[in-house]
Amino acid sequence: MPDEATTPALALGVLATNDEERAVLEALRTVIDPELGVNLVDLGLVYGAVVHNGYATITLTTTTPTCPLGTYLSDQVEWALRSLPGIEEVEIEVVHSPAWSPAMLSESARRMLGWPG
Amino acid sequence: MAGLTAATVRARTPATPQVSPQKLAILAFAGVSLLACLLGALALLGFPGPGPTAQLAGAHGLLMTMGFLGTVISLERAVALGRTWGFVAPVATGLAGPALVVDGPAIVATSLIAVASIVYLAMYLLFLGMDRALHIWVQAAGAVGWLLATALLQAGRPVGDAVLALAVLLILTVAGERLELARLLVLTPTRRALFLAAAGASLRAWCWLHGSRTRAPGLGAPRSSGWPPGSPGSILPGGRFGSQGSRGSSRFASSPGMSGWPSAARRGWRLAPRRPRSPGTRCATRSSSAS
Repeated sequence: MPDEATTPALALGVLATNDEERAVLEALRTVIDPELGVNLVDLGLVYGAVVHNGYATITLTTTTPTCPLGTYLSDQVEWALRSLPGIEEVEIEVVHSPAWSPAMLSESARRMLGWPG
Repeated sequence: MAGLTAATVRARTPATPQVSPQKLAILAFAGVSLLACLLGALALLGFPGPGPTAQLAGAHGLLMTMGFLGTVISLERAVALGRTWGFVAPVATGLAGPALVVDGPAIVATSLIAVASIVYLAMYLLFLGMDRALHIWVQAAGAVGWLLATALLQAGRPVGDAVLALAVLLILTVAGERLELARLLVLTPTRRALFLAAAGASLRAWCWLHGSRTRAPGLGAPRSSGWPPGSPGSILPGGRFGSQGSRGSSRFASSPGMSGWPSAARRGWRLAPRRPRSPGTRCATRSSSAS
């Protein structure tokens, strides 16, 4: 179980330091995991989102290394971000370290998945 | 970012997924195996169709487990791993399907299956290096089942002897996938223990069915859903997700409607007329017939 301080849901709040990054995160919330029906940000699948001079660097994971959706999600993320004004280049990296765990789910995702409050 | 609002972002339509021609070709081979398997199964039921009926009937078990399911499952893992060598597994099983049916040496098909099983297990060793979660161990145990089945086939044993090992592959693969999804729910230690007990009980029940030589459909039709009471699938989630604006492929992937086909197959089998079988008919291939 990873340290809560390193969970993406919390880290993203720190990373989104300007309007560009907030817009990127909002765009990433439109990308839905097709198996779970929940967006990538609330699932905790976004490990990093940095925007610098129109260059967006996104670090993603999947809920398990055996999941074949990495390429699909990357395509969806790239499409979502490329259409944002001010974003000229998108670089996406799919990583599996640290391994995703349910501790990375946001409160919103937990509610959607029926977790008890 | 001026002018960009949450509303405009949400209004956009997701990109259409693109599937490479290479992956489509692999899937086409899997489709050929599925079609050949169904023709073989119909022949066994007394409804012969076109094609080499005897060969299709004799090879239908391996066509389903290796030519179709083996190809689809290993293709999924190869895509997940993202390494070129991983695609050797689905290509090999894809080619094994036609090799099982055409008039040629059986060693070609069994060798292709052997290559696929080794590559498949190698992929799982890498997956375990990334994450040693329980669901990956369960699926890796399925990969070992595939390797055992391969060893039996390579040793010249009839396919019937490899049925249990093939069932281990399919049951544990599906069970592991369900267990992975179950993490999205609150999986208590008690439920985890129940899962493992149910997985063991399910395999044990399957062994009993196989041993009693009842009319198990094909190679046992391991259930991706419609699980028997007490089996892993009965306590783990199926297609219950899809709660947030899922549509298109998202809706398809999370549709609970996908879960009904194994039950339909079983019921169809029960409706079929009983036919006496010769010992060589059951799960036999050309190699086993010759041995």
